[in-house]
Amino acid sequence: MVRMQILVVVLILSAIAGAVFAYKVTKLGFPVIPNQDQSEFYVEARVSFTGGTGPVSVKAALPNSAAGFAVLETDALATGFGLLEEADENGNAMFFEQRSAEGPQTVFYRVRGYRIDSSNVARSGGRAPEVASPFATDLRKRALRTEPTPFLLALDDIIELGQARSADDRNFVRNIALILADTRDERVETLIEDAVTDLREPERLLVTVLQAAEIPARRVTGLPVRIEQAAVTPRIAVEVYFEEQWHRISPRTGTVTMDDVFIPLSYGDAPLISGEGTRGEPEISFSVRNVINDKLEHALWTSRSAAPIVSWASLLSLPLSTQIVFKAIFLVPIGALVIAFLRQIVGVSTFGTFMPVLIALSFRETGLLNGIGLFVGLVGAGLLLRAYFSKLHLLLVPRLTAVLAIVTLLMALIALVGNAADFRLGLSISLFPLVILTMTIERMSIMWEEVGAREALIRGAGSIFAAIIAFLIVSNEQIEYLAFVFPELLLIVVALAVLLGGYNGYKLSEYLRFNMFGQKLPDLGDSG
Amino acid sequence: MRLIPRLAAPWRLKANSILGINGRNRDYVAPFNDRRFYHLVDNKLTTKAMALKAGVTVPKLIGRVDYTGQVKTLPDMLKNAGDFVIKPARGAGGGGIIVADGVDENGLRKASGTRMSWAEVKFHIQNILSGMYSLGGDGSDIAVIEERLYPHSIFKTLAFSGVPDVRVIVFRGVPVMAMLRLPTSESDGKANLHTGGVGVGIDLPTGVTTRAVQHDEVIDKHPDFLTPLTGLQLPRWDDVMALATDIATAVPQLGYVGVDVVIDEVRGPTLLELNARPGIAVQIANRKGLSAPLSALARMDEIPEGRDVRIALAEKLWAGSTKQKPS
Repeated sequence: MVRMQILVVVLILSAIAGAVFAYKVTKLGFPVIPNQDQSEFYVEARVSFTGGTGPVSVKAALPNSAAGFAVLETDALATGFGLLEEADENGNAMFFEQRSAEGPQTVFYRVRGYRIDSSNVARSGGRAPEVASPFATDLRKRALRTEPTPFLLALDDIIELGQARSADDRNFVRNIALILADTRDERVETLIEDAVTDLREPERLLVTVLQAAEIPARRVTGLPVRIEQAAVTPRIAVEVYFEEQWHRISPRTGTVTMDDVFIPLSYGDAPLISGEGTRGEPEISFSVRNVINDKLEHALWTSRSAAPIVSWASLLSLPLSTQIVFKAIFLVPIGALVIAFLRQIVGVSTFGTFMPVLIALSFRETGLLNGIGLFVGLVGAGLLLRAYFSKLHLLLVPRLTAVLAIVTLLMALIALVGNAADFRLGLSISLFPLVILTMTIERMSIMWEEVGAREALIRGAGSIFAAIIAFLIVSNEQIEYLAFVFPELLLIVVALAVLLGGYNGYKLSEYLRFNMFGQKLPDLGDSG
Repeated sequence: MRLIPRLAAPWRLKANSILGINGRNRDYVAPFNDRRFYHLVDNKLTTKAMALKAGVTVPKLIGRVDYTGQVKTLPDMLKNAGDFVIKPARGAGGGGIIVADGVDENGLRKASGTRMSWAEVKFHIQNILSGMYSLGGDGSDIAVIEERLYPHSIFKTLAFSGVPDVRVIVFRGVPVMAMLRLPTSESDGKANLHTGGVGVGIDLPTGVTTRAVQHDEVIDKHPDFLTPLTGLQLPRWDDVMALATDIATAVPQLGYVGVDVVIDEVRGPTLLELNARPGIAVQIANRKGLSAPLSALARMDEIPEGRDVRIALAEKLWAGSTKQKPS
């Protein structure tokens, strides 16, 4: 009876999952293979504000095409708002406007961009941008003759020093930046203290001085993009025009930086977001995601009219920051299925079911070898510590707390050492399941004392082994893609788990354990 | 140790009626053991109360410590107790047990000869109360003080420093297989098989030992005493079978249990504890599979009542599974 029910449940689940999957693939054209091309990505902005009683107009900076980055298209999700795109000297911006929008509002825009190899960008070849500085050379010289101020004297001194040392614009920019970076220099101090505008920010200071020397320079606020990120914080940079091209330069060294893509949002001093008719200041936050698949985007677009429910139920309609979280979450059940298989069918002994899954997920952050090293190191250190605390006859719960606290400190230490040695482990450590590690240490040491080192080590090794296998599966791009784009396939995971739960046959390990039963038993008679 | 492990042929395990862990959990533990009644076996105090009601011999309860404040009353409670054992009510794996010869004003004498001051005893009991030795759970426990058991003299040269016990697997009130568990120096006086204790198979109808295993390998002498382990008649075997049948009949909600019995020199077979998920190593010690008798019992609509009837059924099943031809 139970067996029949299991079979029926499995069949129903597989049928539903298979049908939805087949519909999405054949009718809506969802691709089953992820896009390998990583050059396209989305920048999504979330704008939130509280509307007042009257009309509301919120202006949000939009990404601009620049060296290394091209804007392909822009669209927005803002029901009830009128949208207006405009470009001014600060770059592109989008206006969200409504006659009345009282209360808290959240709107989104997203921009599809394309990563360009900046070394291949053709020189613009156009005329150099014009510079309008109140301290431009002739204005400055004239002012110095009539009423010299300490500010103008210092400025002039610095510019002339820079010019004396350099033959071309690139060198000049570099020298000026180096002079300005030394804030103990008397002239630099004077510049900062006597300026009419606030020049304490190094970027602003550099731009002011370069403009006074008639080198086109601008302050730019933008997004540094290295990888997919749920939250990207805008940074301020300096761009300088020479050799017929805008260059992003580091204000501290004056050298051209070209390491990662930098998406310019706003040039000059304009804020990224401003509003009229809002209560309080509007807020904006950014996230960046790779475009998974062109065809997928297209399929989603078609399904909006053909099958609105599919489009509605697609995780791709969620805000980007939520999507990135879900990408990881969907791998948890798959990892758990792998562990269930290893435990029920193979007979690998582990500490608990979910510990290996969580370890496997943290391996995704640390990389496999680093992860194994971290795990073994931390558990080993924890075991030694726990053995010592046990000698002090500490009671259970305070002892666990002490171990937990010290493991936390060890992680902090590893993060610091890693940072100094330029390992990029910082973020991944924070995701390493701290409590799971502590519980592992506790369970392992109890088993060590009560059952013996052998069993404890077998289980510890089993846990790592299971975590490695699970990692190899959840780190597969194809599997991650399928789980995320076709969440209905999780029903198949449920079906497989139900099947596994109904398995009452032998584990592979039992063929080893009971190998003495491998022959006909002599006392069981004669025939076989 | 072989470099390449030898595996049993897949069809052989089934033909020899071997029960695997998955089979045990899915076919016997899950359908026959009601989780709501696990507390009956997880807590030694409840087990004891239930056993007394069923007329089964258990170690006499001397006292209990429920909370830290009560620790003060210990010297008074134990003044006239003679020898005794202190253990956690929900203990796991034999941890936290103290065996004592007696007490005086300074503390207690352990059976091993060493002494413990009252301060040390109190600290140990506080550890028990904090759940240090207990099964999972909420981090609290009760300390139980009970009469000390003296294993039958036959075990003098069979058990190293601990208490040997007989594990009887009982299904639906019918004993199906039994094993003697002997502590060794390697197992640190614990009768636990995976710590290096010796498991000895028992001919169920007669109580004569058949073969012995340590670490799943066949041995014929006790590793510490070098005494032979097979062909021994266990004392008062009929009473062991009766006890196992009675206690299992008293907890019908737990159909598949392991009954741990100590054969005491004076009191005879005494119930130590019950286990709702007994292991499957008993098959190795007996060189016999559990599936045949278990599935035969599972198929029966109703198990006949009465201790003698059930023991007779047990013997019939034992003989049947011995003669049964693997097919």
